[in-house]
Amino acid sequence: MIPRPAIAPSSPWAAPIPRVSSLDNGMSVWAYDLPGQYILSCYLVLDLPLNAEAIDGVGTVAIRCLDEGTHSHPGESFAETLGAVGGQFHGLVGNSTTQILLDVPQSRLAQALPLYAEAVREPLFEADAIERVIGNRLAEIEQQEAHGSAVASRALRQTLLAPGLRMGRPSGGTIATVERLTRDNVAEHHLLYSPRGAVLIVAGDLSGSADVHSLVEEAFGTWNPDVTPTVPEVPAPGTPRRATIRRPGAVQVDVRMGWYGVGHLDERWAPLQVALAIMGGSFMSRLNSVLREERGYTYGISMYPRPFRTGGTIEVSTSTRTDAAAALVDEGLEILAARKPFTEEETAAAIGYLVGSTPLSLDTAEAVASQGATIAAARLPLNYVDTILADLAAVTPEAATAAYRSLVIPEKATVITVGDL
Amino acid sequence: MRTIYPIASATSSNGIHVIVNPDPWVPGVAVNLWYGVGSADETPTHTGLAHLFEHLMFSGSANVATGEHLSLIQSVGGNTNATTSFDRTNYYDTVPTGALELALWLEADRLGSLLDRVDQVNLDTQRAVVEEEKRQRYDNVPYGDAFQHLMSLCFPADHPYSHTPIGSMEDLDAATLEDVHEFFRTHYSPDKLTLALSGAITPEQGFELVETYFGHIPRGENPPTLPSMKSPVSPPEGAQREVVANVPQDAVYCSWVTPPVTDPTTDAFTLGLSVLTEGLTARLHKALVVTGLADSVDAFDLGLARGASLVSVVATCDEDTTPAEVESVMMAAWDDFCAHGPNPAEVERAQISEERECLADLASIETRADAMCEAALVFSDPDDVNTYLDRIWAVTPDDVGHAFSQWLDPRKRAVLTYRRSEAEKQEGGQP
Repeated sequence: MIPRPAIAPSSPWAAPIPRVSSLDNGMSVWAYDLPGQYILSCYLVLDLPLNAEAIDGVGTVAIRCLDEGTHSHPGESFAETLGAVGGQFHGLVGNSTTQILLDVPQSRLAQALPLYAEAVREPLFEADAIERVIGNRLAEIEQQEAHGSAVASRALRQTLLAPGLRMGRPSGGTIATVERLTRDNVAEHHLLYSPRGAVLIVAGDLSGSADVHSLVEEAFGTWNPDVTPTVPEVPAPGTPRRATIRRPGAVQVDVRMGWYGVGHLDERWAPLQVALAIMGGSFMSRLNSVLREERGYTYGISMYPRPFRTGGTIEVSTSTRTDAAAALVDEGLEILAARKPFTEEETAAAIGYLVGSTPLSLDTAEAVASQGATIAAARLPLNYVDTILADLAAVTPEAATAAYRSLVIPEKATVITVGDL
Repeated sequence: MRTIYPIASATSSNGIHVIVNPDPWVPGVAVNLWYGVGSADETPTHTGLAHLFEHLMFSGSANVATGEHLSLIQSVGGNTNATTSFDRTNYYDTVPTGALELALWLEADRLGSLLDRVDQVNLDTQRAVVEEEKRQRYDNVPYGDAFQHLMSLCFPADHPYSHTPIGSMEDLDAATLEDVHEFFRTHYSPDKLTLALSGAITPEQGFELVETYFGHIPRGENPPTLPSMKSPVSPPEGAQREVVANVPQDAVYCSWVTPPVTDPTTDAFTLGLSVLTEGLTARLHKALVVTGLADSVDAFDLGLARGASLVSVVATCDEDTTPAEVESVMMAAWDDFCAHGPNPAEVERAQISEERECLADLASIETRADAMCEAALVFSDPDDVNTYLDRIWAVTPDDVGHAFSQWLDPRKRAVLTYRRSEAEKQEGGQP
């Protein structure tokens, strides 16, 4: 028999840091050179928060319409031209920023960047295209609403945040709001796009590309609209409650539990991450080892933070057969009370997990660009990844326990169940 | 462009096919194992066994406690999991370089001594977990049972592909400890294993480490299971099924049984399906979505390896149209495509798009190691990872047209339709 090998210490690793430059119109350019990454990942992070929307869901519809035709390439000729250079265009609306994404093979960046800029700067927004995109969005929302898991997550978020906050409502809008949208709403929302405060991230193997800064300047340099920036709303906690949403015929109950949490810049952020990894961030977490591996109640249960620019939420997510739902919630809340403080061993394993997984997860252009977008959106320092890794490594069991107990208070749990109850 | 990942392969003393892709840019190594066993190897009353067994592989072995494999790998930041499909079962451990030997030792311990640890308690717990997985992923989501319907509609009941890997609740309930032991003895041995390593490691190191940790495990008693080469079978003439369910929209799936993924027609299907359904310029997008008949249209090839595969196209219907209308317009466009093929510009866009997707897939060591196992086990050539894009670029518009007219004739389609139940309609009518 071969003895179990020891784990050798990892060689030092530093997170990729971008080369930063800026354009005269206020846009920053972050270039991450990642040798061997042949598909470049571009994120244009606009300083345009969710609460700038006049009607819920208009931001998402606007993004979907950007590549439906531009002044220079009307109708489907835009998609044809972008397709011919291998570009893939998409986007998302976050709480504090609007992000427009392009993936493109390294060899075709110079051809793709002008098209990227075109879609951002001069979309045509033809009425029939907008009408169709709205129809597709309504169908998508209906599809989402048919999933118990989506219904449960939406209800949880809505409860954890104070009433009236835009970020508590679905980022893509609801049937009622999307149905009301008109071409004018979409075009007016697009007028809020601005290079001021925006960050354009380009990540991948840049060895074959001409100077990225010059290419970006050529495509975006003359973009200079006059826009008053929208101040992002400041989140605040809602009132905890327990609620059941009936879904007749469902063969499982989707369960969500949650608390109001903290953002990246709170001093409890690092210890909280360690605590949540112990409770529900890994396979042998306190929650999963009992509720899945001992009880067989569920395929899996996890607990994780969702940080905003300030504030955040702490969420637990699982599903179970209907007759086990009550037991799962009761036993889950008992585990979540964390009556036993976190141990040295648990803390070390959680730190190992969080610190060790970071280099492995940042191994593609897409992952690095996405991390860069998180840094840009939350206004974190460029070396954030390295500093948070150092902070995580220094977390003690006492600090993790204290951070956890200050936020995850059993009596203040919000519990949402969705199923045939 | 073609990819240029360096790939070396060798066979260990006890028959493991080892493939190594050195990549100096990453701070870790992806360990990926493919055993050539999947749900197609199950007997009719033992469906779901290959997947249930996959779960038991995490329940401990002679020197590893229940759950310890996962907790050890995660405690260094690694990622470990497994998946079961029709043709193979895949286990992977992506770890920092310093934990590579531990990952190999853990994989070798369960291959060498799993049965020392499997007991009734483990079996009962994992059976319950798998049944929750079935509910969560298939039974409690709209269209979640589509694959079960498609496979049973298109393949005869005694065909290995007629059921899906998740299996049936009845068979899962009936699985015994003896079934599990028998399954392990039949299908798990070094000579049935393909093992890929991608990351900060040289080929020599990789081959030596596999020999060190796996070399003592004896070959299996049965010869390695080769893919059973049954010729493609057509779905029964006029095969149709209508399912009434709690779905948000009516949907229609048209499907065909095709040659296996190793057949050159697969590359032509890949490009043709892209021309028909991918992006705003796709033919079916224009015929169905732009016209307002459907809300979405999509197509896929299951990529099955043993004598046959399955190609399917699916559209979700707009509220004001019927599945019959959508099917009729979809098949008219499909018929035209079969008769005349794509034009060169369409094929070139599809090739460029496939190139981007392929390179994005290979960007991570975890998915690259997985692709290397597939290349070795299914295509019998680890370097297929590098030559795949050459093949894609060699496909002509005529190749696509011929492949479609030969294999995807609209008159030979099998049709699965989902209709919204009345209750769902009433609920959907009140926003």
